[in-house]
Amino acid sequence: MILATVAELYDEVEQHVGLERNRFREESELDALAEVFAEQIQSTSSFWIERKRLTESVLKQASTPQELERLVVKAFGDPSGFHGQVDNFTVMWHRRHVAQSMSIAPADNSGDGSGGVIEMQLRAAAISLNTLVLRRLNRMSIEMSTPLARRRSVAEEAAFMASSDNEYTAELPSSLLQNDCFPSKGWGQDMPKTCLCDDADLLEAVKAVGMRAQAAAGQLSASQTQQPKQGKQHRHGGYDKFWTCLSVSTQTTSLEEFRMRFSELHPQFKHIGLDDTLESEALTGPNPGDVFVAAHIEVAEAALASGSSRAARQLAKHGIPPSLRPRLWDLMLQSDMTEDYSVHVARTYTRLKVMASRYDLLVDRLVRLDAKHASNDDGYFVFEDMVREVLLLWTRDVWMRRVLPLDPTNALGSNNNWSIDSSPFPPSGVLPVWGIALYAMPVCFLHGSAGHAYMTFREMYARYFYNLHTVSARPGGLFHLCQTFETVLKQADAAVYYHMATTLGLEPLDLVFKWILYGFVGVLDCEQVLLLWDRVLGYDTLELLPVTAAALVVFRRDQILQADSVQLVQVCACV
Amino acid sequence: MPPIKWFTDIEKSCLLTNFEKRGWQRGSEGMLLAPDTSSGSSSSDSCVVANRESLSTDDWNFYWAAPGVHNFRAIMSPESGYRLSDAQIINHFPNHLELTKKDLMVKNIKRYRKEFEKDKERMAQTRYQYIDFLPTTYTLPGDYNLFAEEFRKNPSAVWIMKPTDKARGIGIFIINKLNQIKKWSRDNKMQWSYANCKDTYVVSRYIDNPLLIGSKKFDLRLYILVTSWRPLVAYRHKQGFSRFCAVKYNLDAEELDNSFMHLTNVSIQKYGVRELDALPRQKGTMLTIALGQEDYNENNGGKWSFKNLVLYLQAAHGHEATQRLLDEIDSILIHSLRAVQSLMTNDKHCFECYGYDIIIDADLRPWLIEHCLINDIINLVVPEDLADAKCGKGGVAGKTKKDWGEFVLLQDDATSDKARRSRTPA
Ligand SMILES: Nc1ncnc2c1ncn2[C@@H]1O[C@H](COP(=O)(O)OP(=O)(O)O)[C@@H](O)[C@H]1O
Ligand SMILES: [Mg+2]
Repeated sequence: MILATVAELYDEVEQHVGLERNRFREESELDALAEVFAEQIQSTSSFWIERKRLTESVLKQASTPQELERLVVKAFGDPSGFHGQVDNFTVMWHRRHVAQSMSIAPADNSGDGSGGVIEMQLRAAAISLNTLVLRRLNRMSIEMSTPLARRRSVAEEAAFMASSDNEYTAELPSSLLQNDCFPSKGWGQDMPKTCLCDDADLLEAVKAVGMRAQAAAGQLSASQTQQPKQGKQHRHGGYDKFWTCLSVSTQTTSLEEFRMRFSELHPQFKHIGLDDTLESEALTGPNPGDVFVAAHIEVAEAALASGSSRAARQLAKHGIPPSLRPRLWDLMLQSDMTEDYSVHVARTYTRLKVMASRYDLLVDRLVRLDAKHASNDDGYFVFEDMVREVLLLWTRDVWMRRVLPLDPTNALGSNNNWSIDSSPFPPSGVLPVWGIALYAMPVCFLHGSAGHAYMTFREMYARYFYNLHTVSARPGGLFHLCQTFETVLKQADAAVYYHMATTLGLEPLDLVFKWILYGFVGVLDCEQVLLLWDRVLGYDTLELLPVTAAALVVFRRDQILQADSVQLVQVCACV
Repeated sequence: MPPIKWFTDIEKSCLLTNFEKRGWQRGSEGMLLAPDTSSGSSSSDSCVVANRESLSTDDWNFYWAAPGVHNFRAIMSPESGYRLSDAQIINHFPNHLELTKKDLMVKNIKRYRKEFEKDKERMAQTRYQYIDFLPTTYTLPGDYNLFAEEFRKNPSAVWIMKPTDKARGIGIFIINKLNQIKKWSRDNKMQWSYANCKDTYVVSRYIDNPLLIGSKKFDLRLYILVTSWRPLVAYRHKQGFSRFCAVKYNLDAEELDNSFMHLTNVSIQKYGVRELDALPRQKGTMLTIALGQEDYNENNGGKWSFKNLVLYLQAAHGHEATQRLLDEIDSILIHSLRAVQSLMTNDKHCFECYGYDIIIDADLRPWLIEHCLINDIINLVVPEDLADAKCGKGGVAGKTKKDWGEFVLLQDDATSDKARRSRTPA
């Protein structure tokens, strides 16, 4: 029974995530997947609770076997009931496990195996980044003469628990306190940072992809044969390669395709963040904005009531009214089937908190330091303690290890085999990138409690942010996003691109890299960031980030074209 | 149209840059006060009389005055015989103390509330129903007995003592025992020197369950601009902010004297902001730090924009609760202005900006703490076209919203009166 539902659902799922159908055309492959899903679902507690409830109620009502069957089918068909939960779960599970294993294709995909080459090149870049990070980690450990992890004494443990909100800075050497770099003030560009890997390292890694091969083989073949591939996926090699700071080109989505995919963003629709601020010209009477908000809230309430993550995502494409954002984000993100979400949150929170008290990790110092980003920002300073707490929970959450496609060549997400007391270091399997706090900051606007904020953060990290910190061949990975930015900007406004790259000598990617990497935190105002992330969740893709970056550059085109120095561009491009 | 000429006795660059930005020119004060600045000690009256003839020589449209200083009093005093022309405006009403002095404000609002609650018809007419927004307050030593009685009724309550003539948290302390304020009791009253009654205090019920964000107490600062009292025309600026305490809040008795935990305006000092000495003991001077351009503190200074607060409240408490809170805040703004509406000197040459301190408690109920005068954040409090408008170049009311920049019309009796009048004959 459940298998049938899942198989049927999988069909929808497949459409939803926009998989190419032919990937799974094989009937047997589909069946196999359905089986995996079913197994997963059966391993959740709420499956059994729900099953018991259904069985009981159905048995009570049915008098004949025929009726029993009818009732069971009806019970499953109820979209707000079990069906809905299974639906949400399947979408999430697919997102987490299947989509992660996909790869981007090279631009000239003529089946000559260059896809494999690019993957190798990406791998090589990832490995050298990995080496760098590990070297820094070891050096840090030596310089601070601190082990990677240390079991706290019982007394220390108690002190940690007693210190309110992890203000436990006893272990933080004061020389490490850095105060003056924070996002809203330009990130303190040239400050020496205590970190394993910062935005500059990542940008360098992205640019390094394929560099060596290119140097060796002279100019990489720029054969740009323009034959559109069958199906939706256009190639537009014509834009690739004529200016770029990347050495390898892979398939990206063209502006036209984006227009189709993101059609709900068209201004013909009403949007939260735009139409809700409309004021009437008249001195009295209701503002059209308020009218729209009221109507939108009604729709959003309906989506919430339906319990469908799909409905929530559809709504999110037009933005979410702030009052409903926490619940709608939860609906889109937290589809783990649990009997009671709040209990689940509380249990996870307590467990991690105990873990945090037990071990003093080297990376804790880094995240504590990073949390200072919040204290120095006038939009987020009230959340400093919460950001710190969220990050401390994150470093020891083995859940990350379970759900992330960890890869030994990615230091920022690697299965390295250090173990302390036979548990791996760090427990999460992920090392923090510099600026990790930035991702936690907007999340605090949604949840007053660290537990709930953390659950949102970790899910967002697993789905999205992790991809921003690793050089990989995944669609929606950092490399792919950078390339997408270049392609879209070139197509949208070649004149600006040319002016920046050639006249000013400023690679557009250099300008916007941080915007993309940090999901616009610190670039846009808090509210704007949340509105953007609404859409990221709605479309379930990070590709909106490079598109937004390109849009911002185009939006500032006049100032940029007039600017005659890099500094001026940097000033006028900042919103 | 000649450019607007400004004059000020607060030579602060945040003001000067602002005038410049508006394309205004420096005017002059004329002869009126010249002798005073040189001799210093001569009494104001004699000086005004002496200069009466030369009054006409002063040359400004827009005077940004410090209300306590001599110039302002001289201009506004009825005896001075000083006449402002139609093209002159000044940033204070002569008797603003009715609103900005703590004890007078309390007295006026208490009286107004009684009237309002009696007047059932009026109550029914307005959408601003929230009137019980002042924490229970007494003036000491005058109301000591009343206070003592109230205190004994609820001995576990916490109260806050504030001198009536100081600002910026100076002299404020929190009490939870009556004997802490023996000095103000009846027995001591005799020794009280009423003549120079310096030590008058108000004692207010301490809002001991403030809404906390990030475990910290905060208050809300909003700005209101009044351009006319009768009819009442008032605007609210969109950019308020909340000021956060530096230390996490708790109500432990031994922490009651920790002002970093209890007084939201003191936290500003801890964040290392320069003291402003331009106007010592002038209410509201700390505010420059807030948004006056030059004094803007790069670090957050414990201030969070009103916009962010609302964004957070929406998510944490929902749309309805937030909307109710915002409506109740508007209610506070309107009623406190109404409370002094009939007392204020309605000089058409005057306008004034008030900063409101409001505390939100854990039940999301707003309480009025105080009003203060705003002296030096002109960019914030004066709409671009105010001077044009008031200097006889067309009224502010009746313009479209676009012209007000960041201001929202809070109350406009002028227009609604007109509307009512035009409706009646029809
Ligand atoms: N009744 C009260 N309950 C709680 N806090 C108060 C109360 N009255 C004042 N405070 C706190 O003390 C601070 C200073 O009080 P206020 O009346 O504004 O005096 P000042 O003139 O010094 O600014 C306020 O910003 C607020 O944080
Ligand atoms: Mg105050």
